Amino acid sequence: MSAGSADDLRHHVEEIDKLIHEPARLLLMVHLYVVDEADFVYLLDRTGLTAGNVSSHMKKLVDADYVEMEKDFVANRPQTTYRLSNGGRTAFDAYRDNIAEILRMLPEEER
Amino acid sequence: MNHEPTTLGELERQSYRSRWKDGTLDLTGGLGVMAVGGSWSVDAFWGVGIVVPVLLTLWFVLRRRLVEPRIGRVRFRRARREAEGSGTRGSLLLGGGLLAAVLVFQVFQIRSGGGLDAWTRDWIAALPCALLALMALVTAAMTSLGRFVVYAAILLATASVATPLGMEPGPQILLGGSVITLAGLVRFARFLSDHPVPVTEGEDR
Repeated sequence: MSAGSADDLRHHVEEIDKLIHEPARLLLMVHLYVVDEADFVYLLDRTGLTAGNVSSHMKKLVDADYVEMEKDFVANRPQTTYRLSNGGRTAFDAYRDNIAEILRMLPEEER
Repeated sequence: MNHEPTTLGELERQSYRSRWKDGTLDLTGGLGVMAVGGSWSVDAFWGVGIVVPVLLTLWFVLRRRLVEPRIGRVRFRRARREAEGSGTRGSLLLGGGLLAAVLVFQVFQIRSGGGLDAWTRDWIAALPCALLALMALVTAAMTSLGRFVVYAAILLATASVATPLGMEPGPQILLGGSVITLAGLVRFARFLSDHPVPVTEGEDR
């Protein structure tokens, strides 16, 4: 690998969005990315994470304005609905592009 | 673990298919087919007009009360919602069209004094069941659920076996519908047992 590409690689690695890069949050972001909005139970079902995990990671994503949250009552039960904000979608697209670029720079060595 | 590569589109399709894993569509669909068969058997076609809204209400209540507390609620993206809307409208049109085709055929049969060729006369009783099988195939295409292809095959097999035995269309449809209803019941019971209502720290449901 040339020095230039090593610098590029370091630059891209430093650019990794650590908020999204955490496995549980990445899973939550991916599942929200492919739909318009989903509630808490849907995310539990699709990700297989625990309620505590979903709750704490979603709070971080909401605090970062990547996710919009709406609390409501359906059939007298509280329901929390989440949707990716425009900023969250843009951040996720940028994260994917960045990771793809890093992987492109690290091809398997020919044997 | 499945290591097949996936795409975001495939993930969306899997999420969409997972919305139908509970069996309520199979159950209410099967009951609907049985209602058609029952109404046909007693020459009371108006019964279908009553049963269909009742079944739609039943499906909605089951989804709201028993399914969504277990797998949650989701709103898919616009392209999916539009495709679903067009699919539903298309199937309703197809269903109406098929019903009209059966009626026109019946009128033709009566006016021609039953003057159909022997093959048509022998197999005409299989037509309604075959048309319902077509509806099952449309549902399979709309929802990407392979089991609805099996339901279509069950309806066709019922018609193919029962018609040469001299069974009328009503009992044929009733028989095919009861198999689908039973399959839906089993799937729904398994879903309820495999998906307890999640404990969500008192925050949600």
